[in-house]
Amino acid sequence: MDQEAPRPPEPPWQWSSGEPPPAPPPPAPLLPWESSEQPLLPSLLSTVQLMLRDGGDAMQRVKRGVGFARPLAYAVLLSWLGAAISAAYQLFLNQSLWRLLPGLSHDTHTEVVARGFALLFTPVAVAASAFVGGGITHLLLVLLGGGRSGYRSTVRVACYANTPAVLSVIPLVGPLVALVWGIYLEVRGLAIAHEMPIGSVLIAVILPAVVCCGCGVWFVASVLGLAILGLGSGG
Amino acid sequence: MPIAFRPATRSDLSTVAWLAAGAAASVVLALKGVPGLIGGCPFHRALGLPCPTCGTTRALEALLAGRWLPALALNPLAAIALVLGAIALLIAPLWVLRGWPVPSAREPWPRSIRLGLLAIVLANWAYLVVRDGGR
Repeated sequence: MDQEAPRPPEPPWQWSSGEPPPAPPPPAPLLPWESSEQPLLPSLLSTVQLMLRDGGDAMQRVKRGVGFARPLAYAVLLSWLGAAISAAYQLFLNQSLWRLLPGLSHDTHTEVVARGFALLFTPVAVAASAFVGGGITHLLLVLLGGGRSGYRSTVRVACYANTPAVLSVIPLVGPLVALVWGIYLEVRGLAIAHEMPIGSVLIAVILPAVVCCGCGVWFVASVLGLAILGLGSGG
Repeated sequence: MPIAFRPATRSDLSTVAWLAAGAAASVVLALKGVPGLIGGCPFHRALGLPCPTCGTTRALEALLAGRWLPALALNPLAAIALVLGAIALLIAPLWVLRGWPVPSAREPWPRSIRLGLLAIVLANWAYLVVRDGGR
């Protein structure tokens, strides 16, 4: 007796009704700062706006595993701007305070020189923090079983997480708000970039600050030196 | 090992350059001691115990002065990592320029490697704590 051979089961991705499979979601548009279509200032402003308004969406748009120049320039610009304005009003506030307390000695010249010196070093500190601090974070991400998008993606996210530094222009509470907001942005961005759970990323971001303080930079600079040829860079 | 080798690209050279610049910037900041930027170790101040990376800056200074053994005594892991890192930073540009294959870790590291690295860091930390004797 002839029996019809059983039909092989259809692969789950085929639609029995003959409809085409759903198209993959379109890639998120680039950050304005990373697209060369807009002039510099408008792209900077719209990127800041996007980062502060919807950090998650903005971090989705950060390109992964490519160059450092643009994100680093962004981080340096914003951090320097925040630091400069903050230094100016702190100087002004301190002057007012010393006028109210004439009995105490105060060397304005030294303060101006110290703040100027610190401003001069801000870009250096931002670069060091991005590459070495990003390295510390990336090492921890790898130890926690993630970091598959590579060191470059971590550094890029760390640079864009500097956006709230502009909030340092707000007297007194600004730097604190900037710090917390920056951590939030970095955690969101790294979780998206490396497709990791928020909890693991939070540990990787917070732990170095709590345990290693500022002295860990050398250690990781060295370890990164070993990994420099793109370990985890994903091409 | 989850490390594959791939051909070197131009972006590897820029990574090397950027990282070298970042490392150099860190060296300048740490050795010149920009006021308020890198003070003492807050962990040590708060708990009276060294943090896992305490002694790294002093180890760097000792290495730069050619005092290898004191550098090792200050923080063994950091001293070794600094030397290996410096060597890697020196050879990396040549490596990439020659077009030699570069390692690329795309997969998560195996648990055994991660736990091994953690054990090394903890052992180093234990050494620092015992050496300081709660000072």
